[in-house]
Amino acid sequence: MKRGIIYTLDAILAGIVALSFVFICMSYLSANPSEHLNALSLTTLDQDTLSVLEKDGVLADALQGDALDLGNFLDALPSHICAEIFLYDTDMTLYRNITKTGCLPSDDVVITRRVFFAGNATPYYAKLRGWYNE
Amino acid sequence: MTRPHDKIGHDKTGQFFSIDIIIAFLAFILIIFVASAARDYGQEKHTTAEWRNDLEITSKGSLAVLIETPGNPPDWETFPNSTGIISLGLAGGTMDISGLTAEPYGYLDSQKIASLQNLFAAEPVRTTALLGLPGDQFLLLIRQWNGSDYQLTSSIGNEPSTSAAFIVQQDRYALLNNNITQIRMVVWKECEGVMCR
Repeated sequence: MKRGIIYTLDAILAGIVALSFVFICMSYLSANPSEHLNALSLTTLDQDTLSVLEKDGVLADALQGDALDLGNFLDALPSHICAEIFLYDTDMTLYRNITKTGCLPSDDVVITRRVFFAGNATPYYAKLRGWYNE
Repeated sequence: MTRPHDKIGHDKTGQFFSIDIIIAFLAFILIIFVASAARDYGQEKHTTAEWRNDLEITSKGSLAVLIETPGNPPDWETFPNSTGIISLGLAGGTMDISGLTAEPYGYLDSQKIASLQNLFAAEPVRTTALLGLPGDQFLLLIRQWNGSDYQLTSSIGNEPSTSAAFIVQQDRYALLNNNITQIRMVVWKECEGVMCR
């Protein structure tokens, strides 16, 4: 004898819809609202990095052969931050590419750029890809 | 002739207390309960997130003013106390490029750092307010790069206490005495009321 309708397909579907709604709400509530601040902090830090490396002559040294200082500096960045620096000339010919040791590649990167001078006041171009170490 | 209601026994007086309505009522109560719990959870989560974001934005702005400006007035480091100081900044020094004096952006003045240390020792509450962090606590660590590692040169402020509710950290880089320098600012709030949960 089938007395009730509580176990019908309609009720099961309604239950699934209701639970889905609750899970969707919870996932929105659990979202991290400060991600944009993290990206902003990383951008500022990367701009500072290129600025001090340029002013201290580390970028020029790396271009002319000695990239040890640049590698050491990148390795000493805070442990949760990864960075990769590319040095180009004005024709976009790549001269150097140095990455912080122990960093895994990521697609979620922040890119900053800076022009600097080396040698006989020749302009070069530095690009820094920064990302958070997972 | 038998009418439909005659088939219903006299012991069944209605449907109000049927099993269906009891189950429906339970489901209704469950939905109300879940909605209420979700609302409380969301409210608390967003409140704490807003507090943290507020602290991050405040500390970011405070550190930017400290690193990128010489302060107001620019010679505040010569003042005997905080009277007359509107804001604190550490940018300073001059940079000559082919006879031209460049803007001091990205360069720190060691005398201003020493003055900030003295000012905080004498007037910690006022100094914290001048940094744009009234009601919060901070620790400023200035560390110079020696080619392979950072060495602490100045520490201004207080270490975060064990009862701190939120702690945020900002790092910036600048040049001090022509050396690459890391400026780390740690800002935190003491645990108060709902923050302590």
